[in-house]
Amino acid sequence: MNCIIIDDEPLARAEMRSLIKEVSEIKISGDFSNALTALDFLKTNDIDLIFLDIEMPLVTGLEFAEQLPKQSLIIFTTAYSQYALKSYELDAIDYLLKPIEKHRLEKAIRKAELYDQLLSQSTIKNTIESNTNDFLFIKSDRRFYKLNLDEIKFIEGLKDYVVIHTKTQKLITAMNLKTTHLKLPAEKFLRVSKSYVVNINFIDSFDNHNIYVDESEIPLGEVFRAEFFRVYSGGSLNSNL
Amino acid sequence: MLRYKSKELRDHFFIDLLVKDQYKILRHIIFLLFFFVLLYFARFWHWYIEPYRYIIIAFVYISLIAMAYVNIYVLVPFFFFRARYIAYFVLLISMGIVCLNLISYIFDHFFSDYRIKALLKFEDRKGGLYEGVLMCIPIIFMSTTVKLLQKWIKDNEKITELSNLTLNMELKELRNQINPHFLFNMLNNVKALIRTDPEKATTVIIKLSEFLRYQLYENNEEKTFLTAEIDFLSNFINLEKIRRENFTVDIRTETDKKLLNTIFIPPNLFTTFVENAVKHSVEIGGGMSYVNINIEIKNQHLYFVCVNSRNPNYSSANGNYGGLGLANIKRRLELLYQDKFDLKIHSTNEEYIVNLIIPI
Repeated sequence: MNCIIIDDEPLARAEMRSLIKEVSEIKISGDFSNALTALDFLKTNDIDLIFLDIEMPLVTGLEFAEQLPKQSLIIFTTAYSQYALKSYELDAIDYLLKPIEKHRLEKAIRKAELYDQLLSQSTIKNTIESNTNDFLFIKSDRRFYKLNLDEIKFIEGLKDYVVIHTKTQKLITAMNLKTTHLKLPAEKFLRVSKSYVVNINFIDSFDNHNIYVDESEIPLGEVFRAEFFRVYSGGSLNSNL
Repeated sequence: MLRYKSKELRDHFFIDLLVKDQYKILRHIIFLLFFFVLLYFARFWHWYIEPYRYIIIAFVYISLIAMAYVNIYVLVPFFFFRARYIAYFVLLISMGIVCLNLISYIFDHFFSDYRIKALLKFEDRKGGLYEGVLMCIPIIFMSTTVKLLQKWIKDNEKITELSNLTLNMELKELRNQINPHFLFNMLNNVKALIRTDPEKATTVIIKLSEFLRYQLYENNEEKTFLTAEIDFLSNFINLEKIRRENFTVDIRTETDKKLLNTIFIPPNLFTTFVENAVKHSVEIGGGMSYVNINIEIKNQHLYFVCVNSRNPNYSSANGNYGGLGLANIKRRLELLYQDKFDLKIHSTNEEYIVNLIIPI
């Protein structure tokens, strides 16, 4: 896996380089002080992962991510947290606050590697074919794989794919999150943000901003929050925790 | 600090007498005496024989004073001040009519025997009533006017106090603007420097501490040393220099250091201009960029000049120069100096130039 760093501050780029080298083996193919030169570079190079600063002159990281044509994964890095929710809407892998903590970066890179691996599996043509109340069938290479709904912890949307996290494995299918969600029983599976659908039986705990499922921390989107509190708690809790 | 307290008014003893709680008893004594004198010089009680004329004057006096107090403590606060004007006037007039009729009824039934018969031909019953009405009018007028005046003055005080408060809050708001983005980025840079250049990291931490100390403490003072402000700006642009490549900064003054040390100014007057200069001098093509600041004292005025390089190719993407920050500082300058300051901002193809002159 390879990556690039985009940050307008020279020292921040140097720090990012050192940190990445410390926690992973991924190849750093370049660093850029602004989004425009990075876009030029991306025209001729295939890059798997981009560490992207948000607050930059001329073109911000968010604007850059919106016009990014290729299927590169993005990890946002920023000094200020007002952008967190917005970045999830852009299907970013993660969102890191500067100064960046080492194992926070490590966690983000592990996640990026996993997704990179899932996305590179031959060509993804898996689709959810049909479902009953208890199962759903994923079609992959002319074979149907049975998936028990009670095994599904949560489903994560990533651009045009969804990753189904079950107790034992992670499956990627070439469908968007909305279509996938429609195929699932609504009383069990709740949309909690732009990128996540959660099986309510697996929710360990939650607060105003996150839902916790085993090791995973799932952001609770602002527009979905009221609905989540209403359905999940049956109205017995309100969102003013 | 700007104070809008209506001092001349407050100093006026007469107003104090009307409004202040400490004069409440005195105020009532004056009121009661005034009406006693008014009644004393009326004629009606002289028509009666002694000692009944004193009972009569006491009776009329108590009735009229009772009406006045009902007006002051019931009618005015519960009807007039609550904008129920029609109800107020209806009740007031009814009270007057009922009270006067009651008085004349009692006069006719209990005191008619004690009238000096010789005087009867001069005055009839209507004359007495007429005098009663004349008596009522000043009582009501005076009591209502005093109440209204009190309320008006107290409201006025509240309003000036409130505008004082908002003004102070606004001033505080305008100068308290630590940029969290700048702060966290600086911390990140320090983290990077610790790895590569610990010596420089130390210097940056010192500069950053001074910068923060100034923002957190000096900033809340009304005035600060000009030299402290210059040090602050110097720290700020030198910290910004660390964040950027191909960027030079300069802050200088030709004015004698001794003179600078004697001058106080409101803190953070120039910060917005310097922040803008830093922001708008960004050069993404790799060329050199700069911010130069000059501060001089001449003829009881402070001359501040801030020049920054700009790349005309990118300026449109930067949006309007200044924006909210500039609007804030303009408002602050207006609050501080009214029309006694001069602010000129202009740009050429290569530079933005800010000229600010303030009195000291």
